[in-house]
Amino acid sequence: MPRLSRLKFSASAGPRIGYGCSLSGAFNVAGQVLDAITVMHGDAGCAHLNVATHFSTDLRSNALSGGVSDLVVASRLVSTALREQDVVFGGEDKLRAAILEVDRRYQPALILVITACVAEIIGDDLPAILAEVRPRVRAPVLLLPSGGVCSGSFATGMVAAHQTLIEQLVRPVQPREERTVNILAEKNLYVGEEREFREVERLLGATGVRIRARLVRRATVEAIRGAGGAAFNVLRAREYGLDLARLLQEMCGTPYLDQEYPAGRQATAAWLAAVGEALGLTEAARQVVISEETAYWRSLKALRSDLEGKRLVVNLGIADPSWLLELAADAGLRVLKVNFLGRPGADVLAGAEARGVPLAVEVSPTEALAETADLQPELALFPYGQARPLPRSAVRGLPSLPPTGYRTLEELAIWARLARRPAAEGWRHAPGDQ
Amino acid sequence: MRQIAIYGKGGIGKSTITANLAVALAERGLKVLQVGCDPKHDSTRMLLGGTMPPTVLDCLRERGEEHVEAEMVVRVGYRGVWCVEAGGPEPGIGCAGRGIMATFELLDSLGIFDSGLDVVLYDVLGDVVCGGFAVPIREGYARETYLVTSGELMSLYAANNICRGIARFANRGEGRLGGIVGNSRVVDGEVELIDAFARRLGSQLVQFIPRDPIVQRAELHRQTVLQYAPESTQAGAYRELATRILNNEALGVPRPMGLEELETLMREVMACRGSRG
Repeated sequence: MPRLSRLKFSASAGPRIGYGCSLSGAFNVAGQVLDAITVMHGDAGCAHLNVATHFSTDLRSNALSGGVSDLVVASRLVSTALREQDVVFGGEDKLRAAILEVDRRYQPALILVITACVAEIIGDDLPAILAEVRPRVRAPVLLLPSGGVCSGSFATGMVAAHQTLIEQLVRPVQPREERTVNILAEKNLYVGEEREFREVERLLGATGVRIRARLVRRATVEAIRGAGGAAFNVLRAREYGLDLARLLQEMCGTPYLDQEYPAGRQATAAWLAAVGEALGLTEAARQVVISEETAYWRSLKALRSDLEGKRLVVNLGIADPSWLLELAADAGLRVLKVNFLGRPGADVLAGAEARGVPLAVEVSPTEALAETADLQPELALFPYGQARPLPRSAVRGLPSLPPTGYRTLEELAIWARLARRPAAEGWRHAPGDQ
Repeated sequence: MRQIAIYGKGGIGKSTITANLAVALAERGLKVLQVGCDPKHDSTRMLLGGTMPPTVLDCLRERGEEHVEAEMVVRVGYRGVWCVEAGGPEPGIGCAGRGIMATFELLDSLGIFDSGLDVVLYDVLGDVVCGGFAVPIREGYARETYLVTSGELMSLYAANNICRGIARFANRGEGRLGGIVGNSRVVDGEVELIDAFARRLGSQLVQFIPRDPIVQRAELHRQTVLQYAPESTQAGAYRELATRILNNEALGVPRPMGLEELETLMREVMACRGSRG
């Protein structure tokens, strides 16, 4: 079994290490390879839970995107469904049989093997079984380092799966195709992920940039193999993506932008300028920014009349509030207070302080709610899932991740809708967190 | 029904002692079951004339739990002793400990423990290596455990280690240490050493079994000593062990020691012998 100890993590990945198990992390990647079948070597319960999680995410994602998303992840998982007898006598025979059957029945482009705790505990010799079956199947068979909780967390499993797929499949391509990028480390369990991707795709497309491969989300084996031909790499999430970007730079020489998807007017303009510069499309990027900002201000003008002069209280965990404060400033809202329920990083705090709004850190949810009620703002924002009705304020539960690009205006449109409600009837809670 | 577990270092003679003990108890008219809890499944071999019938786990694997009957897993051996072997996976694969758990669950569901038995003897693999091999003393099966040891350091060390398991589970149930059974390896000062070891644990030396070539001869004839040479001195030692175990009421929670303490104990005993000699 390949070990995870050789993997390196960005310091920013630290807080997440320890959550979940490596099996779920590995499947979060493996399930995204469109023409591969994942063989989960373990009990059926682990397969059930993972399928249920991804199926639920896909369903909600589908609803958010108007039915254009597909429900594909769950259908590409096969479990060896180990039972007590297999625990006693070993599960190797079942794994061998499962790989042979998957190859025969589905003829996938790739077979990915991941393992649950039980296979790791009883010590099934996975590399030996895979070496034995490889000559007997048509599809390549890859073992993704996993092993449930025995081999690390969700983060370790996910990074290791990415790393294995990149190392085993991606090859350098020369010359690299101009004006193309790969997208790295998308958040496959975020229900709004496809929507965020489309915004990035739209902005890059307007600049004349084509997306070559998504590593790894809704990607074919062929697309992953061809990722070495992209001119540049773009990170969705820095937390995990930075390691992958460095690996691809090492393997294929591909440069990357060390920034996450941008949120809001200023961040998106800077991001587009950086991508444009890296790809020799500085002027095209500048034109896109002008065009987008013109549209932004035009849309904002229609919303501003409902919001200008109204008071806002922002409660959030440790996330960067820059995009919220930018929206508030652009719409003429007055920010009374920003409460962090935890302690954000120094850069996040410094950014918020620079905007000159009153801040507090490590505020308990109860204190935040009480203070917000006392301040009686027209609009109160709360972190995802923590919004509670208030008698004199409209309440909005924020999405768990910031909207990408200029989509922050969609959030502002929700605020404006809330603000249009007559004060005499009382402000109402807007239930849709997403 | 008395349920008795026999533990000790691998190769120390647990199965030989258990099988002879089973016959000695059966000679008294008691209905005895011996359960071998070792993937090697050779605990009851001498009771069965050297044969090794299918194990519980063999039946479980080949037939499925619903189709296993009591008569498939119980064999009747010498003097009517019931013999069951748990079995286990091939060496180096699967989980033998889980196999022990599965075996006990199956024996329970087949009602074997409710078959009018007087004594059940569990002959358990070398050490309490995992939760599976602790089942006989953990799940309320055996109330009393006997440890087989010679006077060799590693044998005593293994016995001491098993005491850790007994002490741990004593807090949760009724499992107690009945005492130590010495099985001679002709080590200098062996009886005194094992006796001192037992006392330090807060227990007792129940019986010291001398070393005798007749044991090997009986094994070559695929018989227990009580069958092969019923009138021998060695057979008498096994019968004496049966008597002492049946009469033993001194069940307690052992106080295991560290390796340093064990080595010090051995030095003390040897020094004491030297000063006497």
